[in-house]
Amino acid sequence: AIQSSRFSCVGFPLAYIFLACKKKSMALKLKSSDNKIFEVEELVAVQSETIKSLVEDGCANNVIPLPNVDSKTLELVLDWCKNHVDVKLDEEKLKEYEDKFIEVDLAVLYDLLMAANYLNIKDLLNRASQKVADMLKGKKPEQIRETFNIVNDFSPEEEEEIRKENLWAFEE
Amino acid sequence: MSDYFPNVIIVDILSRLPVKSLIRFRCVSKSWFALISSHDFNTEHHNRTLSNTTKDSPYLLFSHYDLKMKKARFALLSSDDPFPLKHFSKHLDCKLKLGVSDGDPIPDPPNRRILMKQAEKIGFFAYPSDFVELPCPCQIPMNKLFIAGSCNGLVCLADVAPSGDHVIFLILWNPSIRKAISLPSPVVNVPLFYEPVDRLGFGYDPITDDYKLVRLVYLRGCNNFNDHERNRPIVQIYTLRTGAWRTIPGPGSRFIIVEQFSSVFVNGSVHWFAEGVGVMVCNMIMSFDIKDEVFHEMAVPKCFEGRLNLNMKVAVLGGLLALVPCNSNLDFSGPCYSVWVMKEYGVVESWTKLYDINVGEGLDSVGRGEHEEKGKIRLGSVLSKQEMGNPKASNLQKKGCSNALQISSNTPAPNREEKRALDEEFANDGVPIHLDSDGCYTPNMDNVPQTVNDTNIEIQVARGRRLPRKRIG
Repeated sequence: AIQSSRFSCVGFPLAYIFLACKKKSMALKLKSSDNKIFEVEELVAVQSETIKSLVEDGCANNVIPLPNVDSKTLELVLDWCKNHVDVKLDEEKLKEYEDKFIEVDLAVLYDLLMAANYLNIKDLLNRASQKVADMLKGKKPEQIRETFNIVNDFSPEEEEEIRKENLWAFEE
Repeated sequence: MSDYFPNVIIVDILSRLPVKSLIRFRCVSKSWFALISSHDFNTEHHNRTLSNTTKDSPYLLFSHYDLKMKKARFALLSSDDPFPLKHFSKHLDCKLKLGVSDGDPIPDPPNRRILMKQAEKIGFFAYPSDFVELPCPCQIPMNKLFIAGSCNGLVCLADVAPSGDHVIFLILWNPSIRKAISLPSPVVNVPLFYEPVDRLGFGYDPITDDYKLVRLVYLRGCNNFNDHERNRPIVQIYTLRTGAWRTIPGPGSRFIIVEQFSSVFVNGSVHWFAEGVGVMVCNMIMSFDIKDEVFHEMAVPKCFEGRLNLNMKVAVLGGLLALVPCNSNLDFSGPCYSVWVMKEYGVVESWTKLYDINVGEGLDSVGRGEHEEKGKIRLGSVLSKQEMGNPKASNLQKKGCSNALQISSNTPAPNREEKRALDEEFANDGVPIHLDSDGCYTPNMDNVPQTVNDTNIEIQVARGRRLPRKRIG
């Protein structure tokens, strides 16, 4: 018992110092597609699996170029990451933040989804996908085509056929 | 797909949509149609729905035999719906008053007959509630259409034909997409002076990714000539992938399954309540492992082992195997249900009583009366009505119980699509799948060859071999 308590006494500050050092020493530079440089703490940035693997491979010493993300979106994404670093954050507050964060129009959501996909940030991807799904839920096929810019390649007869099969799904 | 989103993201988004939207979105474009119909997508959708249990409350499926229209009717009700409360407080006003104010003159207790008549006249689903009535999966009028089993949102319905030739009609139904196919009727040659009695179970085998229906046929001797024969059921299995029936070795003859359409699928096995044969009263749960196709026995709580007339139902509660015995109170205050769960599957000692539900007189008369006499309003509805009396019982309602089937609102789509994919596979492989031409199935499945080829199964009085593995003594 004595031994274990001694361990915990020593272990705690060590881990603390280690974390603190790491936090302080490592700042990453990210470059957006429009050539803006963002300086962020490593802990924030490595929530992106993509960046994390770059760091682990030792490729993060210079500026990390992110040619698929523009500065506007990157700013949003990094804000999300900053708010998700501290896991101890009040759950309710975090939810509140997320709800507010995701309340954006489809164009922004699109950018966020693409960025989250490229940077591989699971929780953001999850949240944004769900948001889009919620927006699509009650829509008609025509509205879906319009929203996503999809060309209807069914002939009118073919489309009618599919509709007829499941008329109930088209009722309000 | 679209130049808008990469495919991965589209799949991710669509897999979060409810069934109704997905069915609608199939006519967006050819690629969306292909995507939504694909097996991979359906697996994805299914898994997501399963992992996402908190979002949508499950639905209960109610079945009810409409005396006026002379047909079975089905309706979905969200388990969040306060229907039981609304419904029965209205009709049982006097009953409730009786409970609260002592000074009032005592009103007549609700009259069973009046309640029954009301139910007959306007139909069960006409009660004020948010029932979503579903089109009956079978167009031809049937004598009785029972819920024989359900799993993954697929429901197996059975009808014992009115004719004397002992044919059983079976329908696989996915209520949430409103599609049904009828299965070939299994044939059993019944010896003279015997009458077959069916017991059914329905389950899913994840290894072969296939649904299986198991049918036990007990032969009841018309003159009780040979009890021995009767207690050894003929066991037939239908697998959706093969589309055919085959016979397998049956369980021993020590127990027979009592209730005709009361089975649950849980933990990979179908479960029935069974009674021992012989002088001593002995109750047991009989289970059938869907994957290995073997029968097992499992003990009921000690206090039920030697009791008669338990009116026992098997059920699933929160993923656990449950038993719901109904005890009639001696003081005529109506029957009392209790709910037991097996906390650790297969461990007899883990049987735990959760609670009693005292069914008020009036409450019971609609539910149970219908249940007993017309066999249509199921136990689940009876239990869920108890919410007002017993706050604990609301759990039950949430999870769905026994024959009031739990259907998570999103779950069934993959099945439909899976089944479609399966059907297509059949079509490609040239394996015949039997579909009736009675308008029972919908055009979606009609590219499947309609080969009517009833499997003629010779009578094989299954050798009553001893149960291969006995889990519990």
